[in-house]
Amino acid sequence: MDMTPTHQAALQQLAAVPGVVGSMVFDRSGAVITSAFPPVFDTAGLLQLAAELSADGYFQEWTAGEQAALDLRYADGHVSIRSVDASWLLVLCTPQSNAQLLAMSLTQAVRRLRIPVGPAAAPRGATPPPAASPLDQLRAIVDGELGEHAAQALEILGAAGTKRKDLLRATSDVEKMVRLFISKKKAEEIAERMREILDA
Amino acid sequence: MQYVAYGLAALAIVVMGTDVILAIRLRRAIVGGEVGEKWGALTVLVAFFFVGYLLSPLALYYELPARYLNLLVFAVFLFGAVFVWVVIGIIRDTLSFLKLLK
Repeated sequence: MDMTPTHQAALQQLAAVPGVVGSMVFDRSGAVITSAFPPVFDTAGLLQLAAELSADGYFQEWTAGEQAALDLRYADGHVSIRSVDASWLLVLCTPQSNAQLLAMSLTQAVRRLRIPVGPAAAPRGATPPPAASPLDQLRAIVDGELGEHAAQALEILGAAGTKRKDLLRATSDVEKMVRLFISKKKAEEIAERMREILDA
Repeated sequence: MQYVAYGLAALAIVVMGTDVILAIRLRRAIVGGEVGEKWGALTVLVAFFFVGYLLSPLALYYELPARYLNLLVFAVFLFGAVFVWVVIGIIRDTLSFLKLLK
């Protein structure tokens, strides 16, 4: 799995979630593909952790499959692991981290990490898919950003018309919902991305 | 009369204790956002009231001087007003999102 700026940005965005201490992606051979831990964490220790986990039969069994997730809660910390294709995303959090916000951010990070890298992702000669409508693009953003909390926002988009002014109004509603009930920062991010699509 | 006061204090402690548990549970269930922040403030206020309620029988038992009791009463009035203010904010936010405000 090659890392792109998008993948790096996924980890950086994860690091901005309150309570997240650091994260890393490691593959089945135990190699750390990328990590976003504070310098206080010993690199050799992280490499050893990745090597031991990837070599562990139980770990491989528990985290097999595309939707695999493993959450380990300790008195002084919380470790979340998600399967990302042929590798794993490991996130270390403080006990104060908000479980739902973290789950939402992890879903989003995993999706970003699964984005194929460069031209190798598309087979040669393949016909490009038809351009998605603005509504579909907005739905994809909402789904990607909000993960398991996307249902209400998708309902708002579903109830809106297909005209630009309707979609702008729906965007405002989604922004308001996210600002009120999920996160102010995420509301700004989502609204910005949705308006970029509508302005394009 | 004194026993009635103690009985009321005990009842208030039980109800407020339940409120603390409910408030904390709901705070954990709320993902975040402005409503989450306001609910966090509300939970702190509920916990503060609970501590006050726990201490109230002691004020009665030790016959706290009237000047201190007055201070306590008006502090409860103040924090009660702040509590109502936060509740109104949460209800206003929710109703405005649901487009139920005229």
